[in-house]
Amino acid sequence: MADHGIDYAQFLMPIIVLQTAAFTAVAAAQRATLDKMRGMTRRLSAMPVHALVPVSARMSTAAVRSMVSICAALLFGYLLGFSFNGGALDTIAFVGFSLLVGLLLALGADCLGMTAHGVESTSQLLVLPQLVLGLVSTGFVPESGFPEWARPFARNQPVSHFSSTMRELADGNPTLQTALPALIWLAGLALVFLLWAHHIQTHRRNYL
Amino acid sequence: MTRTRLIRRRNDKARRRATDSTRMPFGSEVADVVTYESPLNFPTRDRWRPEPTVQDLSHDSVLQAQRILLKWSRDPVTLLQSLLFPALTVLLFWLVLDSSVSEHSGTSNTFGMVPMVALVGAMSGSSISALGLRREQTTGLLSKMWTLPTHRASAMTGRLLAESVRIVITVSAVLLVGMVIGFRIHSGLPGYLGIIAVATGFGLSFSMMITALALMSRDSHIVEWTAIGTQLAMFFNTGFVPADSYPAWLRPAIEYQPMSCTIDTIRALATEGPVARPMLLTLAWSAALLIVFTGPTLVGYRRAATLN
Repeated sequence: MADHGIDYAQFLMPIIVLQTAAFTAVAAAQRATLDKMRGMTRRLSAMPVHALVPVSARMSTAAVRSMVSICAALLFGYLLGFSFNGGALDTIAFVGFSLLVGLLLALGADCLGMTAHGVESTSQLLVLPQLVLGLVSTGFVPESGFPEWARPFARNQPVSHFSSTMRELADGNPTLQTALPALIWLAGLALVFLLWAHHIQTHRRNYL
Repeated sequence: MTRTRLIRRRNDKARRRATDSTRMPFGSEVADVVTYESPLNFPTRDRWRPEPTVQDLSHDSVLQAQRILLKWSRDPVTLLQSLLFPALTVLLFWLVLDSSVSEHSGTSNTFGMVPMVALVGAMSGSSISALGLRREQTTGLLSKMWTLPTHRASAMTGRLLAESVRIVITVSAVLLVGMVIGFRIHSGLPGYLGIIAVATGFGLSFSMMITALALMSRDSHIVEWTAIGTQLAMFFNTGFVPADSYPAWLRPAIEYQPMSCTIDTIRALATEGPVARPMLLTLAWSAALLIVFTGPTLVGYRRAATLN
């Protein structure tokens, strides 16, 4: 990649951070399924605990985990030559954006985990989008590295938009033009996952 | 379970056989036995044979292997992991990396990539088997088999047999998908059989290692550890990119790690290149894994079956 005039550590960092978000999500799905299968959800629902506590507790765990893995990824990135070239605001935006993506994915995975019946099946199912969206994105190689027919997908899918937005934030020159599609994807995912979570929350008896 | 229908019927044939036979211990009770219409070929009671014979071992192993394979073939997760994921990985790696790597090294990397993903598929699937074995331990099936009049080794040999069938299928599927992106076996059918033999030999010795670890360790994170290990190994071998793309200090470790040796062997078999050296290295690695981990597997299996 160095032959192409691209600093690969700088180029790769966003997709690595997004990958850690995906790992966090898989763990969140497993946690939700285990809570359900071991009777924790059922027990909490019988106790004087606010109905939102179980889900928000799981989300808090996911947030902590996400934070830890983002820090670890950034640390290793620094060792390999990655650096934040923007101001403090850009850096905060980078970390905040990563955390937001991680939390959203964790919320979606949590919903999936609540509907699933086995731990292995959910984590295996989640490998599929991780593989396709992760690899066929402009996070690993630039768009020109793909064959002609794969480019529209690689260009327009959410992970590509997320990673290019984060790359601009790391470089310190965020543009609305790049950020807007990413924010639209993020809002869309948030809408779907929140509606799903709301449905599960209001139909708790079906998911014990 | 939905397909194994429970049929209650008076089994006249069995009764006739039972009254004729002097060997049957339970006499006419057989007549009222509930028979399951099972896709497995359980032996009828009059075909009894002494336990510790080779004939008994082979028959029971095949039966166990059939049982395990039947279970896998009806489990979507297993099918996903052993067929769809490796195939998809080959396609995606080719799509994403092939143009960059071939620009860098001058040649297409298909002949390294395809064997690598085939091996990763064979290796990562072994965690399914290890997990299944643990579950049989916790549900008590292993202990039950230990007390039943079957050959005691059959639970393990049958599992290894099932593993080799799974590896053959996974590797063949990956090679087939590899055909689409330009992988060719120039040496024809003998070459294919050689590749399958090498991959199965290596896969089985790896599986022996995972089984030993699963039986020896107390926690049940064997799947995660295997996944992490194989994913890491995927980036550090001569199939991913040629060895000279790695920094010099890392190169010997990359070149002589077991996966690289096996990949080089498969590549040499497919392209009719010099095969002796990588083949010997692969055999040495496989033999080493088998020698180190067969003992712990046997000890662990005995413990798992008896201490419950």
